[in-house]
Formats: sequence, C-alpha cells, structure tokens
Amino acid sequence: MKRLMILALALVLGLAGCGGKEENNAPALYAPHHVDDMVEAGAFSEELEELDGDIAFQLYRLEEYGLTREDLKECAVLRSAGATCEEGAVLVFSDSEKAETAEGALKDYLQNQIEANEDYRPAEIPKLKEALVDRRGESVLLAVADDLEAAKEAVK
Amino acid sequence: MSGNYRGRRSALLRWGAVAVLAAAAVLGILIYIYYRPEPQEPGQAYRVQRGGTEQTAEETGGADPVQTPDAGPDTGSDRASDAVPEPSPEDPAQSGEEAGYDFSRPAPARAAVGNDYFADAAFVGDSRTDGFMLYSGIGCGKNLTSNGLSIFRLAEKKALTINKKKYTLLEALALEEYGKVYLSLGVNELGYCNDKGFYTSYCAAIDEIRKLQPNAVIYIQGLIPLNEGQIMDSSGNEYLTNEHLRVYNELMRQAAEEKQVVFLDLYSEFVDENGELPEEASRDGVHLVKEACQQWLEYLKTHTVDFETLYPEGVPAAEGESPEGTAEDGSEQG
Repeated sequence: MKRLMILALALVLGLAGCGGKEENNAPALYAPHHVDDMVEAGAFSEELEELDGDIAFQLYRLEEYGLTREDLKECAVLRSAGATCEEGAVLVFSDSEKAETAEGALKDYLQNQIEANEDYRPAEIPKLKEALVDRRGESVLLAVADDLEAAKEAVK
Repeated sequence: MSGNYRGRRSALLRWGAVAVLAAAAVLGILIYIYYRPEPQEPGQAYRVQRGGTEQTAEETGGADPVQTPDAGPDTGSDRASDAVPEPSPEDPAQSGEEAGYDFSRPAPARAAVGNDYFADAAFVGDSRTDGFMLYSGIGCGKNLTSNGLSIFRLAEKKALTINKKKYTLLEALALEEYGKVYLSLGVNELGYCNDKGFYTSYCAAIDEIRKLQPNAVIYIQGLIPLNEGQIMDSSGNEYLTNEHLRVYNELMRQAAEEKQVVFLDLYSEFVDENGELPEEASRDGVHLVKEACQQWLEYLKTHTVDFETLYPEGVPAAEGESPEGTAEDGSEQG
C-alpha cells in the first residue's frame, strides 16, 4: 500500500512537471523591443523611420477591420522612408481576438503593398512576398526584411 | 491858340510818357512771371518724374492739376500737395490689395497655421506625398496617394483601395467634400519627354479637381529637388534629373497661373547651393526622411491662402472640357 502511494505521488508529480515544462516552452509574446532586436540583427538594409501608434493604426487601416485606436495597447513600428519596402512592427492589442483581426489586416496590407509596388519597386517584391506576419497571443509581428532569417532569429 | 496848342501838346507828352511807363511796367511784370525761378518743392520734382509734365498749379489757374494721359500708373491722389513718393506698384502687398491675388507668383509666406488647418484637406500625390503623410506629423488630412502615380494616369489608374474597393484618385477625391486640395505630382513623369503633354494634363487635372471640389483652395506643390548622386547609387535612374525637374516646376507654375490656383515653391525651400536636394534630406535621392517631411509641413503651414482672398467674386468656373489635345498628349510617351 505504501509503495502504491509513493508510485502514485511520483506519477502525479511527474505529470505536473511535464505540464510545467510545456508551458515554459511556449514562445513569449512579441514585445516592442523585438523591432530593435531585428534592427540590431541586421535584418534591414537601410535606416528606417519610426512611426507612432496613431499613424500605425491608420497605415494598417485597422479601423476598416472594426478595431478602435484603444484596442491597440502599444506598438513599435519602423518603416522605410521610401527607398525600399522594408519595415518591422510589433503591435500589442487588448486581447488575442483583436490581435487575430489585426493579423488579417496586416496580411491584406502586405498584399496591397505588393500590388502598389510591383511596377514601382519591382526589386522589393520578393521581400514583400516572403514577409513574416505572426501572432503570439495578443501580439502581432510584421517583418519585411532584407535578411528575413536574421529577423526570425532575433525574435525567437 | 498857340498857348492852347502848347498846353495840349504838353498834356499829350505827359500821357504818352505815362503810357510808355505803364507798358514797360506790364512788360516787366510779364517778363518776371515768365522767367521767374521754379519753386523747389519735393513734390514738383516727383510730378515731373512720374507724369512727364511740367504743368504747375499756377498755369492751370490755381486749381488741382489734372492727371495727364501719360501720367503713368499712379492711381492715388492727384493733389499736388499729396505728390510725395508712394510705394512702388511692384510692392506685392500693395498690388495684392489693389489687384487681388497674384497667381503668377508662388504663395507668399504668412503666419503659420495649426495642423488642424489640414483637417479638411486632401493630399493627392505619389510616394513622396505618402511619406509626407506618414512622417511629417501632420496628424490629419486625407491621404490620396499612390506609388508611381503620374499626372497622365490620374483619371484612369485604379490606384486607391478604400474599404476594400478600388478607386481612381479622382473618384476617391469625389467621395468627400474638402476645403483644400494639395496636388503633388511630377517626379514619375520626368522620364517622359513630353513637356506639352505634362502641361496640358496638369491643366486638365486642375479642371477636374475644381469640378469635384468647387469650394476648395487648390494648391499646386512645386517639385522638391532630387539628389542625383544618391539616385545613381540607389536606383540608377538617369532620367531623374533636376534640370528636367526645373522645367516641370516652371510648367506647373504656368498651369497654376492659367487656372488661377495657388503655386507653392517647395523647390526653393529645399534646394541647396548646388541645385540639389541636400543629402541629409533623403536616403535614395527622391524620398524624404522624417526631418525633411517635417520641414515640408512647416512650409505648408506658413504658405496658406484664404479662398476669399483668391476669389473675392466667388467660385471660379471649372472649364467644361479638357484642354485641347489633353487626352492624346497626356498619354503618349516621349
């Protein structure tokens, strides 16, 4: 009986330990500092300009997707002044559902960028087609980079 | 008899002497009047200079002198006593008050407005204007821009997506009523050797904008210079030259004058001593960095004109038809 109790306890603790380990492995949310991390990793080929939350909200047309400015809790956005189509952004929303909506908006934004630039900056199209849009919980990351692998590595 | 005769003769001689003396006196007075020195008054000299006449008040019977037909453009007081130097008719402020807004010249600087001035403004342009809307800090105004847009395709290219629907820029402009429309196009057209087509297309665009927005002040923004060295290092587009850009700026100024809209001389605001956009204002020689976009905004804020100043007698009529040859000229490439 005593042995059985020890085995059961070990089993419970073992399962709990596995569960804990799984939670620790879940990737952390994207945070504004990840944009700087991508810059430092050399993901972009030029110096980018900083945009504030109000402009970012307009740029990605989040209102057209039913979001309000208040839904966007914090963000960091760097974008080319026009020489390239490169940009890096992290948007953090009030909940994951809003972030999911924004993820769709960013994918549409990328498609619009492809259409708007295929005649104007054809050399930039591969960067746009390979661009990363990824959501973690209530945060969304966008990376249109010269070195996408460097960008991915920076935000792992 | 002889005594009477002598007496009469003597009287005649006396009267004759008096008459001769009187005649001499009159003659002397007349000679004095004729040869007297001119009065040395400042206004006298100015009148001679301005009017080309030497008439004096005395010669006109003492009344106010009458402006002679060749008296020049002096439309002020004609009184001799007021004949002091007046501001030159070339004085912009003076001529502005008397003759209305001078559409042949760029808008003069005035006190800066706040950003809210642009709340009812539409910005129609290409990627440069898109950058301006994003990086200048303007915070309001409608962004009606499209990368690579040219004046030749303004009415046909479905360049804008609004609420997931495609519009030409003119269609998008018609969706709302604006108080100001800022037009900035021309860089993408530098590769076209068709200056006449550029001019007629610009005039046609102004007509279209006026039809859509009859109560708006239309601003034509002259092209900001390029940095040709940076262009060669980045895109290598040899057709992007400041020499051709200056030709376009002059055509745009002429179009603004012909169509009676405001021309903004942004070229002079940005050009350096070498006739180029300073290197620090751009990274590729075309698009502006944030600080330069902020400078652009400051220029717009200090170069505004009221609708009433431009059109004191009401809304100007838009031309019903496009200028002759626009469609043909506007679409062909050189």
